[in-house]
Amino acid sequence: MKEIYIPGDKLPTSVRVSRLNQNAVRKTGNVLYATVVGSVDEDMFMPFEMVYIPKEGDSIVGIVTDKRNIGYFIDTGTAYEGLILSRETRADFHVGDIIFAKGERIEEPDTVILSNPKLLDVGRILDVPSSKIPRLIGKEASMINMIKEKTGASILVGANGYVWISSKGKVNKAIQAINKIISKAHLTGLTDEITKFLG
Amino acid sequence: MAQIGNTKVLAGVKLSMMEPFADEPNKGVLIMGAELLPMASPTFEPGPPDERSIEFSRVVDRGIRSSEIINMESLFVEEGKVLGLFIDLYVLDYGGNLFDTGTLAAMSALKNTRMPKIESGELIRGEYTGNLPLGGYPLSSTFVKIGNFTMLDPEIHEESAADARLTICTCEENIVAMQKGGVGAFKKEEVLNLINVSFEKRDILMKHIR
Amino acid sequence: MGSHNPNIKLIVDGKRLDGRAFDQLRNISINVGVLENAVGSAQVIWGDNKVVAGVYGPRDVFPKYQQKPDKAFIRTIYSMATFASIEEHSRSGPNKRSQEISFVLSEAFENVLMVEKFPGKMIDLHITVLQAAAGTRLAAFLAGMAALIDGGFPLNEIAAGVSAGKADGALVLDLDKAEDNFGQSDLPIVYNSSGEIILLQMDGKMTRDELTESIELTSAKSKDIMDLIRKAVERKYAGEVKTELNFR
Repeated sequence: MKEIYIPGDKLPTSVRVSRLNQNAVRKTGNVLYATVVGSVDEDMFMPFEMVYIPKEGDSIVGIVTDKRNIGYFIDTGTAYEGLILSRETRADFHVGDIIFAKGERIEEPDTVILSNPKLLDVGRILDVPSSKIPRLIGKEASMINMIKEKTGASILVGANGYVWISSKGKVNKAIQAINKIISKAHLTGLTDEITKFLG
Repeated sequence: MAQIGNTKVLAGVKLSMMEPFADEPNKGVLIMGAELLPMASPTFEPGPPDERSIEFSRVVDRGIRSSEIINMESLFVEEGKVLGLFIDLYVLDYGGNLFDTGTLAAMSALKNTRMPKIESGELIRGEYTGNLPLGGYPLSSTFVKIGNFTMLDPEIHEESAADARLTICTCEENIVAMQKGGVGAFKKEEVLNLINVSFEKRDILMKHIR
Repeated sequence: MGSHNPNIKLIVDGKRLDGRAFDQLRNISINVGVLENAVGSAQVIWGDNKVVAGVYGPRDVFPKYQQKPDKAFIRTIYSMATFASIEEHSRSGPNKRSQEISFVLSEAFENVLMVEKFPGKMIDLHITVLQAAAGTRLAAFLAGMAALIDGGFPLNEIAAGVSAGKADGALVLDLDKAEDNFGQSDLPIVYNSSGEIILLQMDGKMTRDELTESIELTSAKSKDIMDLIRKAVERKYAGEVKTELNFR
């Protein structure tokens, strides 16, 4: 089994962390310490669980919950609400629409201003623990691309944990693959297992 | 009443006849209460006791109770009847460091407590038979840590700025109660050092108990 | 703490009533991820203590005036089930003891939680003692700590603690019910992994030397308990992740 690090553990000097996972570590002097439970995979620290903290540049999949003069309020499935400012978009959304946007900046204390929103077709939304998203995407998007190719489904992954799946293609197979990844993200041999499962 | 800096705490002691607790039928009962009166600070609201009030009364109670300076068996009157010793603390003005002021007020009040006359199992109000005997004087010192500095007896702004707080109650040669508060941490050596300082400060506090 | 009763012998033939060595802990078992809905959860069995903790958050602050603009507001609600202690059925709802323990625990958790990552939000720790057998606040801290780790809340480090006390004049660690009721002192201390003291309370009587030794002994033992947390986490991820609450 891979070595598991718990909060407060010093990480080996060669270890780095991806942008999405930057809250999983803290730097004191020149040393990286884990702030959550995780393991190291090819010199990258991968957290097993982490509460979602929005960062600039995060891709967000969300649901429009309210339309007001200031803009559209977006449910992200987290403690942080998304907001698309009216003055920054010409789009015309309705309550219940699913959108894909970029987290532009954080308006204190808990609103994420979203930019470049795109309306998504009717489909399914999976609520995945946000800490599993990097594993779902895979190195250079290899895992998620494999699922898309082998099932023919369109999939968009939000850093917030919402995953949109189109209604075309082998949707159920894609969902099963995603569920497998969520429950086994911390185990080795996952890529092979998913490859075999997708056939 | 005890006043340290701007903090004023009034302590009152009353003795009443009551039923003992079932598990200690031969002992009197010590009951400590505290109220942070709204007049004492714009931050004290009327209503049920808040965190500060609860911590204040429980920590002062601990010091006095653990020191065992009151012979609880001597408060036994007859079967089913014991004396209840009620110590109530009223904070009239809040300028920081309730713990030390409260303990000082309580001990001053206890020193001057007169034992009521008991006749045929009844308490005669207004008649007394000498003072309540005390076996010692539990007194506390409260310290706060702000960054790398530790200070004794915080006033109100020092308390608000404090990362951590430590109250140490001593009686004769023993430590009888301790309470750490705040989010910050203390090193082991710091705690042991502050215990020594608490013992050193006893003389100053004792001078004020008359 | 109860009163010192000279008729009750806590040390017989140089041994504690339950046969433990003076510096020996009771059996402790920790399981994480035991509740489905909570963001993080844990159960702790410590001697005869049984505690469950569930953590929610970050969530909006209620009541709103508690909101802190630059960091999270930590709220710990420690409670004891009405059937938890061997005494009479107790009234449900918070009493002063539970309230004091709640905020003392909150302050300790806040020391290790990276609260600045969640400005304006609240993290709720619900810790319930289902069966009480002395040392409940330390078992509660352990359950809350494990639940925070389980939930993926960023932490600077972990922490754990144990109590020291006096039974028949001898220094002992991890008081059980009899030692807590009839002993001469009770000193719960929690250390973070840097060795600093983040929770400290005491009642009873101890000399300076006894206190010094208590601090040394508890500091060393706290590391053993932190190791148990590590093992509990490793067990969770040894295979597929399952959610199961089991007090057997």
